[in-house]
Order: sequence, then structure tokens, then C-alpha cells
Amino acid sequence: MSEQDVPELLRVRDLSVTFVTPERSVRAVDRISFDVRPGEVVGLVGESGCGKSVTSLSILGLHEQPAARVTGSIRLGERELLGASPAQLREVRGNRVSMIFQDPLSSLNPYLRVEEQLSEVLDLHLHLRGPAARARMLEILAQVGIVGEERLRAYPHQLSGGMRQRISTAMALLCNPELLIADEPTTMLDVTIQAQILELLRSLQRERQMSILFITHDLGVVSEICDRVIVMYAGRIVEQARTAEVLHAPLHPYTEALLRSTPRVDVPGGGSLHPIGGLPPRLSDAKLDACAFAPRCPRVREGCTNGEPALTNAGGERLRRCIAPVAEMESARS
Amino acid sequence: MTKSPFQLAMQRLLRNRVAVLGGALLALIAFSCVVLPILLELDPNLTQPALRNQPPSARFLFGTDGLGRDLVARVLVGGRTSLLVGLAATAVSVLVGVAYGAVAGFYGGKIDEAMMRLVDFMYGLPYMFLVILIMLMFSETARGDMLPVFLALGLVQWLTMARIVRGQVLALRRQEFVLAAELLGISDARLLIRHVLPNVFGVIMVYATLMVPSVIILESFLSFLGLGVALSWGQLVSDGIAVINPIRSYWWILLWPSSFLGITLISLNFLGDGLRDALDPKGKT
Repeated sequence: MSEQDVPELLRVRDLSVTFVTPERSVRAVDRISFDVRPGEVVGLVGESGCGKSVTSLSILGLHEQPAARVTGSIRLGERELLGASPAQLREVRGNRVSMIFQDPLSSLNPYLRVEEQLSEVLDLHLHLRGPAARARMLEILAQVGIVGEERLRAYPHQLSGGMRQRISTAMALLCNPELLIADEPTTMLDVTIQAQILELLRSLQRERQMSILFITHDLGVVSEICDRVIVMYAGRIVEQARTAEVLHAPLHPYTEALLRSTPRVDVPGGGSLHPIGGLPPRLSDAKLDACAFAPRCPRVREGCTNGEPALTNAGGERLRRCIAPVAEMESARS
Repeated sequence: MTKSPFQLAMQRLLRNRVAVLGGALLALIAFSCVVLPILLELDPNLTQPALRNQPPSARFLFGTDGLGRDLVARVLVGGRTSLLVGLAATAVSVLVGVAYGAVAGFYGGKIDEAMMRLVDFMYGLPYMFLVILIMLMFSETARGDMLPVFLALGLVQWLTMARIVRGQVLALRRQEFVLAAELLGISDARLLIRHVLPNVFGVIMVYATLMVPSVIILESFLSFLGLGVALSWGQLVSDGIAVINPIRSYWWILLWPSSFLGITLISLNFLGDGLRDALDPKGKT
């Protein structure tokens, strides 16, 4: 495993995020550990409310104490981000780690021109002003496929959705971050624009050897852009593997069920779709005495209610949290 | 040419006839009150015992009062006070209210809780009583000075402004573009001043416009009670009412100041309503 020799860029260990309210505590993320290596695109997959966004926001230190209790460790290179001071976090944000959001309509300030929003970041992190800043802005806009100075003078409401997402991306990339967190950046766009943005992210990532943590619930998007996939369910990692392995040989029934509920282009007619019955469990602070997916699992068996299964190695770098034999899942596919 | 959202709002405002009429009337009244007394060398306190209680005529357009003072001069000079009190007290309350509300809304949580409970507490106090108390406290040292009036009225009015701004900022704080700016490493102060407050500007402006008339009324009421500044519309109305009687009605003494007061208030309300419509983000270009 040569890749393990490369020092990881982002190293998350035992990260838990618990939201505390007077009524009850909700553990949205439960002891998850993963790495993102330099130049790698990692997908974070799962249905709504499984802890994807909470994970990404905790990397940038956006959960406010004491309402959110964040424990564990998040290291970016040599620097521990968990418990870092606001000033240290500000230095990292937008500079070493950037984020792009789901909704390009609401992630730009309606009262500021594109130029004003971009130049603010340049001034802050790179101390670039005047013509140098302008040259850098035009350069980055050209990279995201926007040509012409007049776009700099535009307000967000004068731009189309795809154009706004390009601007957001440009803003995130201005300071050449090592890690880009993309929180469902294509969900609100229509399919053609979605493909364009994905292609853009992919090419920018290759050029810069940047790492991307790509959050999505769309496995089609995952197959296009990710090197590795982490599947989350109920705030836990249930499977982790290379993209091709996850998509073609899932080793967790949840991943399997997710795939069966996604339309396919390689099967005529899109294949039949099988929704996952039921809802994700209500999260609480308590320790689980069964697999979190057991109530919805088609492969549920006796041992499933015998404490929560551990995350085990299933060969190579693959991790899975399930007690069903690998052989059984493989035979089901053939 | 690309227009800013603010320019677009101004465009919409100019298309609203009632608001434009309100603005024009206000400009006219403000101009008359500020400039005319200087140009025409009007003296509101010049008494002419021989010409008491003259009805409107070519010489005294608005007539004279019981001491033979020219009502044109008194109404215009009184208007200065009323407008100045309206603007200054509103400015005080906008400054205090916006700063207070913005901080409370931006930080939220316990800070917000503590700050807004103080506002609730002050809301609970009988405000007229408070104003009168402040006025009396200052009246010993500075009789006839307008500063206590600005302070007293401003300090009562800022509560509502603080509440409005706090609510708006609280909602904006969790908007994605503010989050996005925060995640680009922008500091709290800059985030608040550059990214959050411009988005509240419209609401502040509308509310400030509507606050001016209520401050003018308050001041008039204080003057009416004899607690106000020496010469203002409220004072003149009070004088006018004092001389109204069924046997000999000096109607003009009451009519002019109250008409000016009324027209100003209505104009301000028209302008405020127009601003609210123009600045509504859902409005069309």
C-alpha cells in the first residue's frame, strides 16, 4: 500500500459532534476517523441527516460551543484545528481550506459586486491590492470559465445559477487552498450545468493537485469525481473504499441499498429502483445496542441486535461496519 | 450599466407618485423652515401690541397671535425645532438601536438573551414618565436647550429599532453568504459591518423614516404639556387651542401650526411607505 506512505493532508480521528439542548442531546457524528491525502478527492456520502455537513463544518471550526460539543482530533498537516483560537481558524479558512456551498443563489452577498467579494479575500490572506489583485481575479475567473471584466462589476442577481456557482468556486480557490470542501455544490443546478461544474472541479483539482472533500448524496456524482468514498449512516462511517469498489462491490447493505435506489445509465431503462424503506433512526447520546441500520436492513440477522458492529477491515483499505459475510454479499451480485 | 440593488430601489421609489409627492412636500417644508426665516429676516418673538390677534391678511399671511407676533415667522421657526428634534432624536435612536441590536443578533445565545431582556425591561417602563423624568433632570442645568429632548426621545425610541435590527441580523447571520464569508476567514467585525448590515440597511431606513413623525408627535406632546422646547409646532398648537372659544374664535392661531404638523407627518408616512415598497427585495425592477 504505497499510498499510506504519503503523509495525509487532513487527518480526522474519533470526531464526535453532539448538539446539546435542554431537552436532549443529539450525537450527529459518532467517533468517525478518516484521512484525506494530498491531491485526493474523497466523497462523503449518505442520506439527509447522516452527519455529512456537520462533519465538514466541524473541520472549519464552525460549531459553536457550548451548544455543540466537538471531541476528537482534526489535524490539517501539522496543525490541530479542534480547539484552535478564532484567529488561527481565520488564518486557515479561505486560505488553506475553503468551502463551496449547495445554493449558489444564497452563498454570494446580494449587496456586493463580484469584484468586491473577491478582492476582500485577496486583501485578507495574500495582502494583494490594486492592479495585482485585479490581475489575480481575472486569472481565477478565466480558470473557472468566466471571461471579461464586466463580470467583475456585476452583482449576483445579474448572473445565472451556473455562473454564480463558478464565482463561488473562484472565490474559494483564490488563495490556492490545499483542501476544498464542496458541500453538495451541484445539487441545485440542472444536469448540464452540474456536469460542467463537476468537470471544472475535476480539472482544477488535477491542475493544482488540490484535495477535495466532496459531500453529496448523489452516487452518480461520486462516480464521476471521487477517488475514494466514505459512506455515512446515522453519524457513523459504515463503509469506506475506493470508488469503483463501493459502486460495483458494496460491502455494506446500506451502500447496496443506496445503489439500488439510484437510477443507472449503464442499464437500459435505468434499471428498476428500490427505495430504502423506513427512516434513519432518531439520534441520541446513548450507546447503541444494535446496528443503526438494522431496522431497515434487508440482510438483517440475529447478531445484528447484539451490540453495534465494529468497523472492520475487509481487505486492502476497505472498511465496513457489518456482520453479514462478505461472500454472501458478493454472491448476491452475480 | 450595472445597477446596485440600492440604485434599483431608488428607481422604484421614484416611480411611486405618492412617495415622490411626500418627499417633495417635505423638501418644501424643510426649505421654508430653514431658509425663509433668514432670507425674510423674520423674528418670531417680535411683539406688536397694537396688532394683536389679527386675522390672515396681505400683511400677515397667517395672522398674528395674542401678543401680536407674526404667525408666519412663528410657524416656520417652530418647524425648524420640530424637524430638528425629529431628525436628531431619530439619529440617536438609530445609532444606539442598530449597534445594540446588531451585536445581540450577531452573537446570539446568552449575549442576545441578556441584551434583549434589558430591552424588554425598558419597554416595560412607562416611557412618557421616563421622558418627563429625563427632561426634568436636565431642565435645572440647561433650560431651553434642545439636547435633553434629543436624548430623552432617542433613548426611548431606540428600543424598537434594536428589536427590529436584532431580528434581521439574527436571520441573516445564518444565511449562506455570511457563512461563506466567515469560512473565507473574514473577522466578526468586518462580517457584521460589511456583509450583514448593508442587508439590513433598507429596513433601518424605512423604520427611521417612520420614526421621525412619531418623534415629532412625542415632542409636540411634550411641548403641549409645557415640557418641551420653547418654540415648536407642538407649542404653537397648544397656544392655538388655548385661545379657541365659541365667542371669538382665533382659528388661524391653531390652523397653521397644526396644518404644517399634519402635512409633515403625512408626507413622512408616504415617504416611509414608498421606501418600504421600494426596498422590499421581492419587489420587481
